[in-house]
Amino acid sequence: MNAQTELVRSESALQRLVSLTERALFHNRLLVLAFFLIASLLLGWKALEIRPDASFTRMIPASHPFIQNYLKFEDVLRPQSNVLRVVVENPDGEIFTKKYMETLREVSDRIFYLPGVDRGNLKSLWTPNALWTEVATDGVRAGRIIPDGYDGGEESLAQVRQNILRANMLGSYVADDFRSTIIRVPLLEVDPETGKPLDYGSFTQALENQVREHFAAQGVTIRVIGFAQIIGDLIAAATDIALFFAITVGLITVLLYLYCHCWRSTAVTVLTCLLTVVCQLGLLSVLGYGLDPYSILVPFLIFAIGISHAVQNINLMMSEMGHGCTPVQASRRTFRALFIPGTTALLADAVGFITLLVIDIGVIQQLAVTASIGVFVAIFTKMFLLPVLMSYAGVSARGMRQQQKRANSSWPVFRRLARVVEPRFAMPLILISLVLLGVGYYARHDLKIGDLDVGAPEFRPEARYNRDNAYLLKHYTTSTDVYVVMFKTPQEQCSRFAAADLANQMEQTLRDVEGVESVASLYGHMRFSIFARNEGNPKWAEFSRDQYVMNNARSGAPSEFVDPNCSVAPINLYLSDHKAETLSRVAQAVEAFSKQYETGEIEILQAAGNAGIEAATNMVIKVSEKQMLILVFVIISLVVWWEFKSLKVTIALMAPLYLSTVLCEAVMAQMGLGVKIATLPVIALGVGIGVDYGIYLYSRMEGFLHQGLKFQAAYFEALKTTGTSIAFTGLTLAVGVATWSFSALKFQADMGLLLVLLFIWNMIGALVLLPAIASLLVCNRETR
Amino acid sequence: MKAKFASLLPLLGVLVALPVVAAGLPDRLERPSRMTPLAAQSQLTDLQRVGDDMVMVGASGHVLVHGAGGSLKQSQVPVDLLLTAVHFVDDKFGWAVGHDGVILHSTDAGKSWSKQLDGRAIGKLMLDWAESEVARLEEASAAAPDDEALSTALDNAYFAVDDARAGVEAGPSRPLLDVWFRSAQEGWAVGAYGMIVHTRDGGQNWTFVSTLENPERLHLNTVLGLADGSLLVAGEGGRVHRSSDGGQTWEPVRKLTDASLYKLLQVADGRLLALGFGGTLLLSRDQGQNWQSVTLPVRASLYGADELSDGTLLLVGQGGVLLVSQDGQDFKRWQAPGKTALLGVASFSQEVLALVGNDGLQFLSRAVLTEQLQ
Repeated sequence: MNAQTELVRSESALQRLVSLTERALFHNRLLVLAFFLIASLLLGWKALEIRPDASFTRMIPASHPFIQNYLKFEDVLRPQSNVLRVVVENPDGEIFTKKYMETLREVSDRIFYLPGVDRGNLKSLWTPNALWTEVATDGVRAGRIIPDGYDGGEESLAQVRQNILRANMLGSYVADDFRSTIIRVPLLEVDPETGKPLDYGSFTQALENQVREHFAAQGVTIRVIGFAQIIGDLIAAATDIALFFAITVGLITVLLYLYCHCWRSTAVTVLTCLLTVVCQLGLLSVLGYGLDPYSILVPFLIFAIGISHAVQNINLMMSEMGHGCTPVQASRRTFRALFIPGTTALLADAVGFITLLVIDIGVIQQLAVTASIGVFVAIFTKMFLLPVLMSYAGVSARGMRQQQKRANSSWPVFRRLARVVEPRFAMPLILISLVLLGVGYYARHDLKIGDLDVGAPEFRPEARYNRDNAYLLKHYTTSTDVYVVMFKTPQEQCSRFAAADLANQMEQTLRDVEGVESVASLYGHMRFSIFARNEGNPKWAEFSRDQYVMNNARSGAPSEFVDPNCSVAPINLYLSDHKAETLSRVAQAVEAFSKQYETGEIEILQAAGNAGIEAATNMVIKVSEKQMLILVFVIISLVVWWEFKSLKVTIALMAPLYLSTVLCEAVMAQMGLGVKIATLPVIALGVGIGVDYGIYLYSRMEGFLHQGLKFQAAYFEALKTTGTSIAFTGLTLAVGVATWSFSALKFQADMGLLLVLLFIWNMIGALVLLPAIASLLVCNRETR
Repeated sequence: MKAKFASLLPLLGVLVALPVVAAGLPDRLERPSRMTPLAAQSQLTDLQRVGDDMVMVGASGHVLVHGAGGSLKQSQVPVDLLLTAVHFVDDKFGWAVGHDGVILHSTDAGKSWSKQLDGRAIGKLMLDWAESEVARLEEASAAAPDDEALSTALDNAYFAVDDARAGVEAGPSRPLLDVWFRSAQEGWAVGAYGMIVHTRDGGQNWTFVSTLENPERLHLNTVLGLADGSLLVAGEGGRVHRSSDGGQTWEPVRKLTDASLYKLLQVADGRLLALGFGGTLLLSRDQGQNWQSVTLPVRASLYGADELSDGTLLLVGQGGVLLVSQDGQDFKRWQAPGKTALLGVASFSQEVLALVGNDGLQFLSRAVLTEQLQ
């Protein structure tokens, strides 16, 4: 009894708040407009300053133990992690020509001077760290790949060829067919002098202009592989992405006009939605954020959310005006009706996005912030600006005629649809849904974490990056997927026999793991060095228990094989690919080995290298995906419960969302899309976008139920207004994003497809499944 | 719905590297060789036809038996270190040697192996001998203080003690590099720093061969018994040692060349080949009394050799080089595609050669070889 009165009181308190807001808003309409005008101008001006912004560090799960280990020893590990491989090919034949070698030197020098390059670790045939060693009767000889007296003559070039073979660079730095060489370019994420972060956009732009294009004119073909190049290509594709956004926006505008026949409401809707995006970008800029290539879809999603709220608004407004209200009256009534469900739905969205913060990967957290800011802005533009604007604009005469036509319609489709709340239809529908859920579960089994293909899945297989990557894979033995295990000993102990023996045993064990193609490490170098010092006789290729022999063998090891203190030796595993299965197989093998043999004195730490970092990212995503979904569902359920104060209604609203999430994952699995940084947010955002429909529909139904309508009648009435809007929004947005499948970026095309599915599934779920479930749960004999 | 999610929660901690107290890795002389599908692609150092099978030895204690039918089996081996040579006296009994002075024995054509000796025992044999030698010589030179030969011998003996102690101190690291058995009873194994051991009872007891003159403790790379019953040991710095009485006494050491010799081979017509560093090939027609140098088309070090039933001579070595000759004078060259060192060659069948080396086992058809010879 007490709880009942409490509830009523709080209800009325909420109602009072709505009335208060309504009065304040509509009594100061000009003030509101002025406020939004000034805010838009200021934020719009700031939005112009927003820049693409990417970071290697943000792509990695910073607190994962793998990454902690990596960051601890970053200096020695950098050459294998955030690194670009620049392939310089001589299209006319082998590299041993004076002209090619000269061009290569210029390329190498040019890259050396690009800001952001870790110059000390840059390695090409021309850099002083490219050395060979050889055994002669009188001991070990060593030298640079390009000999001291190099003059480009035939003899010098023959010398270079011999040195390449002696240095064992064939297949790693020089192509197996001798037609290209690789320049290894490690990048510094933070400039050690200025402390400024690396600007990937301008770095890759410089690489493009000053290296790729410049030297292409000089007769060599340049190819670039690595994280920075992926980011660069994504940023370069931003205009394409924007173009597709523009097409989508245009399409939605046209559909909107065709639907309402009122250019005024169409203009107001699109304008407020675009304004939301502009203000969002402006706020981001004010807060010091850039736009990460992986968050590039967020502005569009905000636009889409805006559309679905705006359509609700203008639809109700038209309906009110159809009942003879003036624009201001209609607008006020609409505000009163939609403020609570609209704000609740947007808050639910914001909460959905904010849960992405649980994922310990910078770029996803940034996406969470970006999206939440967008929704925050949308609350203002949709809940305050839109009603005020509509109160001025009203609905055009054509629009009113269209509305009249619609109102007079007998709604044959909806009338029939409304029968799904009858148990004889509702039960089979729910059964079908359960079957679908089962099918979804089954199909979802194949869902993988991480990348499933070679190359960069962001791009299509025929994109330049993937063609370049394929070239490298084809012409070089050493793969670009490097998984680094850190072999940690006490200081100056890295070359002790016990350490070498254990490391060697680990290398041998890991070599047997499927997907590991080859291993390179200090210990391989030492073994080579030992037999090299024994006249090059391979029968000596074994570690010695004699510490003098081992210390000698260590000297001259490349700097990427051991730190100066001789306490960390990276064991580089070259993998056949970076599929999630391969990565977790390697991680588990390393773990099993260290569990069995690690004694405390020597630590076997995972993991670095691009593949090692990706393994960590996959693990974090795998765990976080579940956490995130649980959180999204729990929190959104709470918001819905708070709105409707009914567990049954909450279940009816959330169950369709769960079904569409499962089906979305199932489709991803069947399409071969892995859950990764690029796709993970879509799942969370999908739930956020989907809940809007349900909240609007049910709050409308609830209104009718309160007026004493029977359940089916209330549903039918809600369908007429809210239902029409939902169906229209779902279809319009789906059609809009469907155009993305023509995008040159596979990333965008994939996202487009997933969003199409989510928009449609959520729409159907809200329109049909929700009432069906609700009718079974909520109805009693009276209300049916 | 929520319960379903909860059940899917995996544990992040499983994959976190923590310093765990584990048993640690046993010493490589005490742990068996790992079974691995990659053994045939890992380093292999020597091979021999045993009956219809081919037995190969190599890195990490790998022993592979390649059946005539094509089966390839990795044998159980009690040690996990680089094996350097294998020798079977018949189609059952064989020995393999390797690093840490290890000697392995098989009585079943290479299918299983047991350890007969390792560097710890050899080190003790050599130290015992050196110390007894010092004691003997100290006594003798006290009796004859002016005998210069005696004092040189004493110095050598002191050095031998120091060297033996050094060898024992660091652990049994020094490798045996070759093995040869005259019969199932008597054989020799030679290795680094002048190691040479001898057995008369099939390996149950081994003795250090002290009579071989090698005061500088140079590496002994290869050992071979000749058709006339004499025993030849060749090694570092082009030295060749020869004994006509089974190692009791040795002729004065001869230095044939500066280059180290890695392999001795006697062919069917009695000619003797010594091959080694930097494209060294020496030929003797009189059981090793006189040698002549043969000029080869490459300067690559040569590690292995074999004679085919038709008299064709094959030499293999550094950089994947294979040299072929009908007469032992004029050699033609074939280059393995991998360019990594080849250490041994043998005829696998009439038409196919087996090559072993740093990249493991590869087969080469004689037709292809003839076609690609340069």
